[in-house]
Amino acid sequence: MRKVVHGYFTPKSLEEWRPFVQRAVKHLLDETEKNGRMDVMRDLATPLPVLVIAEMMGVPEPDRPYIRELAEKLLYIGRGEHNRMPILTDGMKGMIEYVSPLVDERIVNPGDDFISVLASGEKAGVFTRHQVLVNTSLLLLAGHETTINLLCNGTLAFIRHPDQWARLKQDPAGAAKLATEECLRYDSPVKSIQRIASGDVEMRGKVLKKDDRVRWFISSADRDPDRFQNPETFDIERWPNQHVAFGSGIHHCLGATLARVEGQEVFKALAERFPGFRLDNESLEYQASITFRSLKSLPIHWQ
Amino acid sequence: MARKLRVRVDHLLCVGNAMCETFAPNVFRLNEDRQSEAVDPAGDSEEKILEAAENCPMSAIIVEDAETGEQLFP
Repeated sequence: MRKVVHGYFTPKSLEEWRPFVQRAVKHLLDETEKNGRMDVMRDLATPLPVLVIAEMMGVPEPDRPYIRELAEKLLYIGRGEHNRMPILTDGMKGMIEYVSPLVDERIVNPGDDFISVLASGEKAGVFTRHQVLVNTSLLLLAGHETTINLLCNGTLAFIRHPDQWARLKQDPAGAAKLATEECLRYDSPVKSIQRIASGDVEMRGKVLKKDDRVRWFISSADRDPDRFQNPETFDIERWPNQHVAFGSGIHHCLGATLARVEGQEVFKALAERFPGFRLDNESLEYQASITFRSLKSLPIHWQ
Repeated sequence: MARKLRVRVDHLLCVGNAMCETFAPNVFRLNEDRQSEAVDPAGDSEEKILEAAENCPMSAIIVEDAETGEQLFP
C-alpha cells in the first residue's frame, strides 16, 4: 500500500506542483492585500491546502467550494467542542459520497491525479473500494489541518521575532527552505501523537510493554536541549535541524514534502510582498487539543 | 557489465523511513539508530537503487558513478 501512494509524494514529483502552489498563494494574497489586513487562518492558511489538494485529487473546479465545506467539517477532529462528532461524521459521510462516483469514473478513464492512482490500486487488487475512499478522505484532512498550523504558527513566529523576519526579507527565495524547517521545529503543527508499542522496549531503565499505548510529545522533542543548541531560540538559519515535526521512521508523514513546498512558498511570498505585520490583538486563542497546535484565528494588519 | 556505483546516505537528513529498504533491500539497511546505511552498493540493480533514492522522502540518498564521480542522484 505504501508503494502505491508513495510515488505521488516524492520530493521529485512534488517539485512539479510548486508552480501551482505559487499561483495559488499569489491569487490568495492578491485578494487580501487590498484590504490592508487579513486573518492569516481564514484568508490564506485554510484555503491554500484545500486548493492544492483539490487540484491534486482532480476535483472539478465548480465542486471546490463544496470540498472546502466538507474539509471544514473534517477539521472538527482536532477540536474540543463536545458537538464535534456529529459534524465530523457528517463531513466524512459527505466526502465518501462525493468521492465514490469520481473513483468509478477514474477506474474507466484514469488521469494523472491522486484519485486515479488510488483507483489503479483498486483495479490491481491492492486496495478495496473502502480503502480508496478512506484514503482520499484522509488525504484531504491530513493535508489540511497540519499545514494550516505550519502556516499560522510560522507567520506568528516571524511576527514575534522581527530580527528573523528581517533576515528572511533579505533573501526570501534563498532563506525560505531552512526557515520553513525552523518554523516546523520551533512551533510544531502537531503537538503529540499516539503510538502502540509493537514489542517490548526499554527506555531509560523503564520498559514499555508490547501493545502499550504511548503518547509522545513532538513539541517537547523539538526543544530538546540534548538535540538542539539554544532550543528556545527561533533561528531561521539553523542547520542541521533534525526536528521530528513529521515524526520519524516508517510512519514519517507522507505529505511532508507537500507541506514543505506550501510553507516555503507562503513564507517567501509574504516576505517579498509585505514590509512587516502587526497582530490586531496580542491575546491569541488556541483550540483545546492535545494533538494539534492550532490557533483559532490569526488576524493581522500591515502599513 | 553494470557500472559500479558509489551510494551514500546523508545522516543529517535520514529519518529512517525505510522506503530505500523497500525498493533496494540488498543495498540499504537500517542501523541501530534506525538510520539507513548503504551496506552493499552492488546488491541491487542501478534501476532499483535510483528508484530507492527517488522515493526517499528526505532526498538523503546520494548516488554517484564510482569511476567518473558523476552524480546520478539527486
